[in-house]
Amino acid sequence: MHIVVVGLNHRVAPVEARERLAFTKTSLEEALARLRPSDGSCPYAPEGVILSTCNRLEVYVLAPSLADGQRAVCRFLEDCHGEPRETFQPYLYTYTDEEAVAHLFSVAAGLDSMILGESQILGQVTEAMERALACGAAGKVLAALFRHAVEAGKRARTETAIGRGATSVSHVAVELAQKIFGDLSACHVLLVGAGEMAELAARALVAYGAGSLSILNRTRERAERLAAEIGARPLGWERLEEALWWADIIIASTGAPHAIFRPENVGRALPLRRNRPLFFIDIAVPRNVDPEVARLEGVYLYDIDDLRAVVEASLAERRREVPKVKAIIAEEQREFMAWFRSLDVVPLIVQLREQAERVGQAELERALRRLDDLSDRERKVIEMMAHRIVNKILHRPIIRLKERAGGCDGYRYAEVVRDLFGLDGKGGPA
Amino acid sequence: MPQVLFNLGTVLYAVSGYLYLTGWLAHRRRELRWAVYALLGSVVLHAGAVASRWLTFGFPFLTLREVLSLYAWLLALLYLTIEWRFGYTVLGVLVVPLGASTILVGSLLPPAHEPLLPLLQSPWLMAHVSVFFAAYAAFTLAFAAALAYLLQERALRRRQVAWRLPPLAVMDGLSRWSATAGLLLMLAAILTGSAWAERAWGTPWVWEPKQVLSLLTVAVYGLYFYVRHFSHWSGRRAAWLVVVGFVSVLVTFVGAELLAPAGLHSFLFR
Repeated sequence: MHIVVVGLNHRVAPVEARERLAFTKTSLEEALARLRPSDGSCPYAPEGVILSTCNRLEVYVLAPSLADGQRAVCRFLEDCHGEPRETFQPYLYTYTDEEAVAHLFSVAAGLDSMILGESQILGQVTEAMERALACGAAGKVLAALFRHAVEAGKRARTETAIGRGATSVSHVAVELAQKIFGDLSACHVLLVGAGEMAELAARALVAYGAGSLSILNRTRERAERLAAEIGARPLGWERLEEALWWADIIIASTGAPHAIFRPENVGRALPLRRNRPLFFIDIAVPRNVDPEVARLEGVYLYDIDDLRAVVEASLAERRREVPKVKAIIAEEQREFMAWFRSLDVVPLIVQLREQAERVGQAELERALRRLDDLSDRERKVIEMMAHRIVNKILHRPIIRLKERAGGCDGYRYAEVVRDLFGLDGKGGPA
Repeated sequence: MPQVLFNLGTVLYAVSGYLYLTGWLAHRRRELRWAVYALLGSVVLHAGAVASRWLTFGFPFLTLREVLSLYAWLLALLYLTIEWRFGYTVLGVLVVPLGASTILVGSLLPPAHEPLLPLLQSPWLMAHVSVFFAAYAAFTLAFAAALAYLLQERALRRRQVAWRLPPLAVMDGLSRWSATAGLLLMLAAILTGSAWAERAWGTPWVWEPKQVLSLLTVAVYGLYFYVRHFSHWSGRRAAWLVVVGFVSVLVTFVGAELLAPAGLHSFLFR
C-alpha cells in the first residue's frame, strides 16, 4: 500500500486550470461522498483526502501503486467535474510515499505557498482532514498523515521564524504603528485621500484596534461615501491643519502633484501635540509628505518604497529559515514513515513465514531425536512433510493477505493477522 | 543555612540572566518563561537568606558585598513587577544579566561582617541604605527603558524594522515612571541619611564626596522631571537625559569610593 498525492498548484497550473478543478464547500461534500459511498465500498481508493484552496487542489489517496493511484485520482476528478482528463492532466504532479509525505508537510509549513510561510494553509490542511474524517473518506493512515502534517506545520512556525514579519504593505503599517505607539486603542488614524492601498492600510489599523478613523478628502462626498462604508468620520479639506494636532497616524494617498505635509505646517503643529509621536505613511506617488518632515523630532515617515522594502526584508528573512523548516519536515517525515512501514504486509508475511518455519523446524528436530534408526530416505520424507505442512497451511492466508492489502481497509487484515499470530507490531504513530 | 539559600539564589539569578539573553537572541519563548521562573525563585531564596541573617546578626546591608546583593534583589523585584504589568521581556535582557553580574562581583569580595558600633545602630541607617539602593534600582530600570527607547527610535529612523524591541510609547512611559520614582526615593534616602547623621554626629550634612555627587544626581533627575512635566521635551532628548542621569548614579557610587576610600560612606572600610 502506498500514499499517493495527485494535484496541481499555483506554480504549475494557470488559474484557468485551477478553477476547473476547485471544489466549493458543497461540491467538496459531494466529492468526498463519491470517494467513500455510504454502502461502504471504495470505488477509487480505500482512503482519500481532498485539499482544495484557491492556490491548490490536491487529492491524497492510498493505492496499491503509484500508477494505480494516479489513474484513480484522474478518474475521480473526471467524474466529479465532468471534465475530460486531457484538460487538466498535463498540469498534475504526482508524489508517492516519502515524497508525498514531505510534500504535504511542506505545504502545511507554508513552504509551498504563494507567500512563503503564510499561516492560513495550516488551517486549511486541518479542515481538509476533518471533513474527510467526518464522512469516512479518510481512515487511519491518512488521518495520521494529516495529523503529522499539522504538527510539522505548527513546529515550523514556533521553532523557526518562517511565519514572522509582515508580508503585506498594510501589515507593515500596523507593525510599525505598534512599534511606535504600542497599544493602538488610543491612536487616531487619519486617512488623507482615498487610494485603494491606503484604504487597506486604514482598515488593517482599525482591525488591530486603532481608536478612531477619520477620512479627509478634497471632495467631501467621496470622503462621506467611503466613511460610511468603513465606519469612519468624514472631514472636509479645511480641517487639514487642525488634524495635525490630534492625528497620530496619517496615511496620505492623494493625487496632489506636490507635498501636502511640509516641515512648516507639521512643525507648527508639533508643540500643540506636546511631542506625542506622529507617524506618516505616504502611499501617494508623487509623494504627499515632504521627506524633510522626517527630520522633525518625534515624526516618523515611511513612504511606499520603505514599506515595500520592509515586506521584501521579511520575505528574505523567511527564505533564510527554509533550511531549518526542511530539517523539521525531514524529522517528522522519518517518524511518520517508520510507523507507515510497520503497516506494510510484506514484512508481516516474512515474519509470519519465519515464525511458522521456526515451529516446524523445532518439532521436526524433536521427532527426529526420538526416531534414531532412520535411513536417509525416511529422514528426508519426514523433513519434506514438515515443510509441506507449514507451506500449505500458510499458502492461502498469505495469498489472501496480499490481495486484501490493496483493497478497502487492507491494513486491518494486517492488524488481525499480527494479533492472531502474536507477531509484534511496532507501535502506533506518535 | 542563609549562605546556602543565598548561593542557590545567586545561581538562579545567573541562570535567569543567561536565559533572558539566549531566549531573546534566538527568540524562544519557552526560555523566556523559564527565565522569569528562575528570577522569581532567586528573589524568594534571597529574601529567605536575608531574613534569616537579619534575625541572627541584625541589619544585613553594611558591607559592599551586602549592598550589591540588596541592589540586585530590588532590581529583580522591580523588574518582575514591570514584566508582569507590561509583558515586555526585552528589558530583562538588559537588567537581569546586570543584576546577576552585580551579585557575582559582590560575592568575590570578602564576607567580613562585624557588629556595628552602637552609635551607628539606628533604624534611620537601615532606612537610609535600603531606600538609597531602591532608588538605584529604579534608576537602572529607567536607564534600561531609555536605552530600549533610543535603540527602537534609531531602528525606526533607519528603517530597520526587524529589531524585536518594545514600543516607543511604552518605553517612554516606563522610563518616566521609574525615573520619577527613583528621584523621590533618592530624596527620601538623603533625608533619612541626614536624620541619622544628625543623631550620630550632631550635624546633618558634612559635604563629603558622596553627598555632593548625590546632589548632582538629584539635579539631573530633577531637570528630567521638570522637562517632562513642564516643557514637553521629545522622547529622544528626554531618554538621553535619563542616560546621563544613570552615568551620574555610577559616578556617585564608584566615584565616591575612589575619592574618599575611607570616608563615611565607604562600604570597604569594614
